[in-house]
Amino acid sequence: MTVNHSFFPEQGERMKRWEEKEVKFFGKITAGFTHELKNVLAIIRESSGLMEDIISISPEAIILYQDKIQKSLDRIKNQIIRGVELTDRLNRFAHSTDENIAKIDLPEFIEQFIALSQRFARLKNVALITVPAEQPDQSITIVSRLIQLQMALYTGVECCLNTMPAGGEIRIGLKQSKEKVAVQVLCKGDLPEESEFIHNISASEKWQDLQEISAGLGGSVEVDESAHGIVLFLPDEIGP
Amino acid sequence: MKNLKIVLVDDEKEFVMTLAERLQLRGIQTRATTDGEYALQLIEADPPQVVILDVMMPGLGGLEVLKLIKAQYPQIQVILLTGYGSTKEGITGMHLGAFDYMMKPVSIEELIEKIEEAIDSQP
Amino acid sequence: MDDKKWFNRLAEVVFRFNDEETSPDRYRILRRNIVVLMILVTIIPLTFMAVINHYQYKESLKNEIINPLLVLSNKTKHSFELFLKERLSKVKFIASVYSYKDLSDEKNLSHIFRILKKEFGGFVDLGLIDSNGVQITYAGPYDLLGKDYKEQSWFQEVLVRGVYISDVFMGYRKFPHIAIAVQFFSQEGVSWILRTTIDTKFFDDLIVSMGLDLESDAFLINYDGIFQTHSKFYGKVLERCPFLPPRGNYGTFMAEETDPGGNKVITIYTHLTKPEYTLVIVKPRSLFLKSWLALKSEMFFIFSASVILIILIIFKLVDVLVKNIQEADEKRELAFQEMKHSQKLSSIGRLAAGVAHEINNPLAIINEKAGLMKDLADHTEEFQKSEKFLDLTDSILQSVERCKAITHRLLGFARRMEVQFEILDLNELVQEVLGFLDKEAIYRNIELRLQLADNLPRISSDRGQLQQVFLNILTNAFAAVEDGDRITITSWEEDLDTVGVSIQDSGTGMPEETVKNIFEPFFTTKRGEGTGLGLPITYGIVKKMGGDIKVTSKEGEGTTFRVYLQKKSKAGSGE
Repeated sequence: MTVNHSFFPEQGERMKRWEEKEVKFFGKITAGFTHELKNVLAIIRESSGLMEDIISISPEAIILYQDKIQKSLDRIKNQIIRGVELTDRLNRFAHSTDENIAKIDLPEFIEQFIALSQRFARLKNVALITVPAEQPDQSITIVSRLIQLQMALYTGVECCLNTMPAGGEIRIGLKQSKEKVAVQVLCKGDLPEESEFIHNISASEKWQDLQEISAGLGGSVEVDESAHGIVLFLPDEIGP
Repeated sequence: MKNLKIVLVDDEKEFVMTLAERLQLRGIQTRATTDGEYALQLIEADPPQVVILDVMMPGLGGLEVLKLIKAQYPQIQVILLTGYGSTKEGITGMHLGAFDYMMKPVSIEELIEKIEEAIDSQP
Repeated sequence: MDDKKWFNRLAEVVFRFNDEETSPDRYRILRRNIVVLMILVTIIPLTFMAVINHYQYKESLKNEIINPLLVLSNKTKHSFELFLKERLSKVKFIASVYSYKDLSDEKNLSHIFRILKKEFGGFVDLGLIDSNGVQITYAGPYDLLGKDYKEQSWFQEVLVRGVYISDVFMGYRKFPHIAIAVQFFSQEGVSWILRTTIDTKFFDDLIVSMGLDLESDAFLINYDGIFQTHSKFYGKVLERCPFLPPRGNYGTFMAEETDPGGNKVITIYTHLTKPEYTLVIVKPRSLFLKSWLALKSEMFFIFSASVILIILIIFKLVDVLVKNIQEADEKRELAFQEMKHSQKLSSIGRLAAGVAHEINNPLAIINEKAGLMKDLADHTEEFQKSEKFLDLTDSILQSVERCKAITHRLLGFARRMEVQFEILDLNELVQEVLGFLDKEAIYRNIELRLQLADNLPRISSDRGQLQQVFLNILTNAFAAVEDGDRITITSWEEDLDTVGVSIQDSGTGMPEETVKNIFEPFFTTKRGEGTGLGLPITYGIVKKMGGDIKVTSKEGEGTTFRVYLQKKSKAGSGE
């Protein structure tokens, strides 16, 4: 049955838009993984190829270029570790679609998120790091939508990347106050002036997306001028 | 590691054969197979101290083989190998009597350490 | 029960409709149906009542107008009879008080007459007539002394009856009069008659006193239908009355007639006994018609106003009702949509996770191979190495290829998630989805038999959604079979516009009850597991594309899902 969304036209439209965005997001991240995996595989292949070449020269060449062979083998080993890590993260990411709303351990989440988006930040030559927790024993958990939370944080980082020069740093940290949890995405580096910074961030269309998505999560987002960053406020528990 | 005999069971031929070779190089008598049934035959013919078993296998599955081994040869230590989708099986396996489980791909040093541990705590 | 059946059918016709109808039509039809039903239910009884009331009011109005007239008529009749009785008693009194001798004296008679005239009025003359019919004495304007009435019928009547009241006749000065004659007996037994003439002014007074309106007429007629008083419209005294009263002593009688002028009138006839007159009241129907019309137009106005009000209210009410239904439907659709999306992401996630799992094995292999090379490099004699090494690096490369294939699949999948419509090969798509489930099939020893038609025509559709559909059905099939069972997948060209894919498992099958409800949302036979939405969503996707899904199952033998797809899928709202 198709229903004209004449009563909730914005809701219907909004849902459609967001569904597309979520799928796109998923696709983007997944594609990112596969690219990285391909890189891993490429390195393994080359290393292996190099060894092949050496061996083909002559049995003596093996001894002669022993160190090269060792290096290749080491490289392969490292790439395997990296590959395993990647598939591990991919797996975890893929499973984030399992439950719509779930309990999320934020520090763990942020760590995983950084692993996810490391690549994209690296492409812009920006480092993505966590700010160590103020109280490392206390774990901050919220009940929210995992995939949308990922999208929110990702969009926030994208906003920052847009206005940051290469060589900078983005720090992601947590702050808990009363009923809200604040996720801070702070930029460090050779940044433009506060007013320009604010303008750059709020002018990008990603900012609109970020506002919509944080609203969808029951929270809100603000620009923190003094700290040169974006703060995402989230409720302890997302409403229906 | 004298007289150390182990049996390797994993459905990936390349993997199991290569691992066997590496273990052999280290002086561990290793027999390898891709089939659970055949593994049981190998065990019967010459019981090893440790069996390294992949849980995700077609035919007679890893856990089935584990049960059968533990039933007939309770002294044999079993180390389970799991991939991503089978951590659950790994834990089940522990309840069924496996010594421990490790995630693939394994580093050979860690594997050997685990084997030694297993032998030390043999019932 | 038969009446329950037809009632249900009626309810169905009004309130349900084809699920395929698109939204504005659906609500328009619902609105129309309810409005029509409600209007019929309210207006028909109202009209029925109005019609009944119409006739009832008409009757009672008639009566309301007629009844007073009847009463009036009766009253007038009594007054009239009383008057005549009274006049008669005066004459009797005179005859009793005065003897024949007294009355035969002219002077006496004149005196009595003068007093009579003075005190009571209306007496025109007074005369004494002997038993032979001869006027002995007379007081009055006429020259009747000595007149012989022996042959007159009235004289005969007096002798027989003792009393005589005449009809109206034209008398002195052309005014209408009536005569009263009374017979008396003297002490000697001789009869004599006292006769008097009275003018009928009283009659007119009486009629005037009835107080009828200007359009109505009232008059007296005698037994033969001759006017005894003037009629306003229908004739003068002693003319023939066009209205004929019924025969016999009928008391008061009402009739609807047409007068000589062609107007419809109501006539009320009241019969007087002494004399045999009939009091006739003629009232034009238009008079009562006027008030009836006034009432009728009032009634009509109220009826129309009510009908309009009812219709307005019904429309408004139904509007609100249907809007509420529509709103609820949309809310539900939105919720369903959300679940659908959730499920889609979930299935995408599962596929991606599957890939991640798969890559593990080849990575493990590479690991071992490279490790072995390292071992060999440390342990073996140099000259033995080259061949062995070459084998190993070969293996590594093979595994790398394998990984590549897997990641390539994932990448393609990720890229295509956004594309809406493309021309695709259904066989290829089905095999791709199967690829994701390969491992499980091998692990559980499930035989996958493919009977895919060669040259199956390509179709234009949404790849992502079709993947979702087949993944869902295949997952169900995998869940339904035991290890070692078989799943057969067949594809064929159904007709010019359609292709079909069937997925048949040799599992346990389902009872008819389950088959019937299998696409119902939230219906699940797995306790506590699953949302029960997988198949409904799948069904929805296929239906929206313009296709169809059919399920057949036999317990103990297995289940077959048949998916029919249009070669050219409908452009959906895209997801």
